Amino acid sequence: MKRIVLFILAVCLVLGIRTDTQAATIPYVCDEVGILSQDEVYKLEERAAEAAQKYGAEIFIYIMNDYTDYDNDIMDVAIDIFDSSGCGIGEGREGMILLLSMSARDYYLDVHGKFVNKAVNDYSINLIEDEFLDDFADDEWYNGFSDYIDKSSELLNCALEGNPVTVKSNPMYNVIKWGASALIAILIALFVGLIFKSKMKNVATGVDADNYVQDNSFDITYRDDRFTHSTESRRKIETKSSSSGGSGGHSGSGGKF
Amino acid sequence: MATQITNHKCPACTGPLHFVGESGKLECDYCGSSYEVAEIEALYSEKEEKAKEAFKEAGEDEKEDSYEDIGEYTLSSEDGEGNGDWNAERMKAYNCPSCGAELICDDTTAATSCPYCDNPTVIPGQFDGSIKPDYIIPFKLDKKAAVEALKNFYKGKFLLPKVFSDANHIDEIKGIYVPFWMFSAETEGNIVFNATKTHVYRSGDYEVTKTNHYKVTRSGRAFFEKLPTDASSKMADDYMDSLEPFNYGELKPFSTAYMPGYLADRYDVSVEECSPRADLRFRNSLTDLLRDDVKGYATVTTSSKNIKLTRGEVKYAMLPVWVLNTHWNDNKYTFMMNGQTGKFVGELPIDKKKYNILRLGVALASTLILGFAGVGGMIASLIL
Repeated sequence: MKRIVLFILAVCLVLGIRTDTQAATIPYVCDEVGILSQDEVYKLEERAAEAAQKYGAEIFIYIMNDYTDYDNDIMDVAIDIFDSSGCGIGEGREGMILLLSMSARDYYLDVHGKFVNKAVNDYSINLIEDEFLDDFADDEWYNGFSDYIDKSSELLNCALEGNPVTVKSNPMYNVIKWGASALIAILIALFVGLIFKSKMKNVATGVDADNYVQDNSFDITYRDDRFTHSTESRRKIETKSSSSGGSGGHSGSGGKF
Repeated sequence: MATQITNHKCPACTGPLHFVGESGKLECDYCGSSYEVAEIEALYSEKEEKAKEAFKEAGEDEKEDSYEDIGEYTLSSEDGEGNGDWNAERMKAYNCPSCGAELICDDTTAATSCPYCDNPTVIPGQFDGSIKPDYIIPFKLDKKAAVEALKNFYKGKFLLPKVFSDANHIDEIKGIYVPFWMFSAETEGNIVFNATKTHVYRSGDYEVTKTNHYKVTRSGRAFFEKLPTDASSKMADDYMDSLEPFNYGELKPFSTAYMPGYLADRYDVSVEECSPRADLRFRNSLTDLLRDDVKGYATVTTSSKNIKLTRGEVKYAMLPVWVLNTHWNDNKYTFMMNGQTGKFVGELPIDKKKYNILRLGVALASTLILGFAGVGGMIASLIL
């Protein structure tokens, strides 16, 4: 794995994209495949550097051909690049990396650090994904990465001001919260009403003759339990955020673009 | 014409006798003397034979004297029911041996009381020959117990209108010996079930659910005895079924001596008409017994059933029931109590305002609890 990382570093160094403010050994934008022009890379780098200055968190973009050349799981590849390259600012290594694997159009957005996890949480990470996925669907790479940096900056800014964007920020949150509570409450109320109502009448037609079985007269004369066949169903377990996000570790989200 | 009915009178003072369930004896309303059933039976056996003879002769005479249909009467009875069901041909007239008053009864009435002198009267002819009951369970609980049971039935019923329980107008309480057919049968069955067992495990990135399917067969047999089905069209079947079970340990050979003080009707629903209900209950029970033997599966469903029912003997019994009628807001409410075990059944009115307030209150409280406990928030997070 380390050889792979060193190779990656070398590629990025050759592309000559580094700034003095970076603590990491890889540039903010690393394009192995060449889907971005030099000019686009430069512009994105500038904005990422500005965000790092302003918010104390680094925003990385990494584009490779096929993540399976390095590992089976794109999440592991993204985490390895972030960790091995010394990405992130400060003791908490505050930062995030968007890894694109072009051959099968896979992506993974990994975040690290207590502050960044607060800003880019389970809810707001979807907002970032919504921003870049529609651009990537049309192969608009620069626009997509641009939206990624802009949205990430916006979320980091909100967190810095003490108002991180969470699901509760959504105007529909309270509507759905109280609406769902009321709906369940109505079902509970109807059920309770039926229980009380059922106590008002204890008359019912007899359906069985259990009380009239002659003592010791019931006899099982034949039993046969025979296995016939089996069926199987499989469900893929989603590899969404890791659970360590809350304590400042890695968390993220991935999929296809 | 000899009288067709008998009044069981006290040998000491000729006061009316009535059967008391608590003591199991016939007691005099006037002098308080009590007599064993067998004693009074022996005393009145000759009279009853004569009454039966007179009943038979009257039946023959009636064929000649049958009333012509004079059209439909629409009568309002005491409880406000008006219907065209009363048919003069189904009514019979008797003379009370105590006061001579004419009693008009249904042709199935077997015991009643004279509305003029209140003497309990029994029509032995209704229990003669092929229509003589095999058994009777005497009343064990009295009218007071029935009223008490009604009060207890009201307790703890939040939705009961307060006015209903406060007013407590019992229009009528009747102790009735209800005719029942008691069915016995042998059932034999073979049922095939489809059953499954499930096992869930993880395999790499997948959660795998493996379901094993089984064909389960059970065969068995059971004998049933004395399943009661009411043989009176006047008594609602669901009420009679709900009063079960009766304690057959107290089943006695039939005697009219248990009847004074109570009403009784002979059957007017035949064995053939009742047997489908009995057959269904026997089949359902055998199915349940076989199904209960299928254990250890996550799901069990019936695939096919084959049940053979061999009908056995049918006995005719008179079983004790207290009937209480009340009325509120122009509606009649009927309650019944098993005259032996005290099991009380009925349907109470619902206070709609209380019902709506209850549901609204629960809905509001639940909304607040669910909202503040985070259940609503969790759903909102999942959706958003």
